[in-house]
Amino acid sequence: MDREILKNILRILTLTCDQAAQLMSQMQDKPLKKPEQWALSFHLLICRLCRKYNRQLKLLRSIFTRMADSHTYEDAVPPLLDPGQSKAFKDRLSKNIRKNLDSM
Amino acid sequence: MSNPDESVKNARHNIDKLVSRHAEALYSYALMRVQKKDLAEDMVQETLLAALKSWEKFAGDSSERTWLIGILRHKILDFFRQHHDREQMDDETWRAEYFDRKRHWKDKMVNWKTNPAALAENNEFWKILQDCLKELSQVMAKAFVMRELEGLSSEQVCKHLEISQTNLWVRLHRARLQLRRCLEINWFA
Repeated sequence: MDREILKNILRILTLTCDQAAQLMSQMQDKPLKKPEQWALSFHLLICRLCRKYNRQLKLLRSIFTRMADSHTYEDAVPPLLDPGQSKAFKDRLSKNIRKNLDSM
Repeated sequence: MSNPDESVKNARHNIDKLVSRHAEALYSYALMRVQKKDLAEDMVQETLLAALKSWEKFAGDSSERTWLIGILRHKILDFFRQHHDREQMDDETWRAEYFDRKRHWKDKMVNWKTNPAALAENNEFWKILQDCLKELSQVMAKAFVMRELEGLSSEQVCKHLEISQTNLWVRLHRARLQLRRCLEINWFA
């Protein structure tokens, strides 16, 4: 048998979770090569934890996409992350900006 | 409008309005990306200053918010480029953190029951995510923020940070593993 084919079959049968995790991550950034795809698909069939990881990666991507967009809408005010400090923050900012403009 | 005194006067007039409308959103945008409060606040201040100084250039063909985010985004990406640190990450130590000797998962992995839309609006979740991002090393955080939050392509990130594709993938892979674990422990479990 062709060495290359043999190598691919071996890879399909012996892919480990850490290699699979790496492929799943790469898949978020570029399409995998065919043999990589086969190996990963086979691994996902037999590995419950990797299936979970794969679902979670996709979920994270969709959460981040939403969060990344959420500041751009004119009325959206995402949390200041330090509730209760909003007023002090804004006062400080206004003051500093005034000072800066005055020194121009 | 060509009189500089005049435009400074106009700018002063706009300060409170701009601050109250946008400062919080700009701050949380910056903080999510640079993970340091002082730095985030400085960036917001610089952004608003830059906006006030060039107020006449704001054409109004985009929203104020979009315009301001554009300026801020520029500052963040500049910061990322200027401070690129080359951190060596030992392969084996790192792998042993997540995988056992048979290369199986060490983590249990609970089921994440969630709705992404609701989560993105949940203040508590934002805080947890922010804490988790803060835990990442600078090297990982930058790559991750540019790719996932700024939505740049992997080619763009590589070019901006002057790193190879392989290097980027390693960074992203590790960042994802670490974030997954952190979010699971602090939120989903």
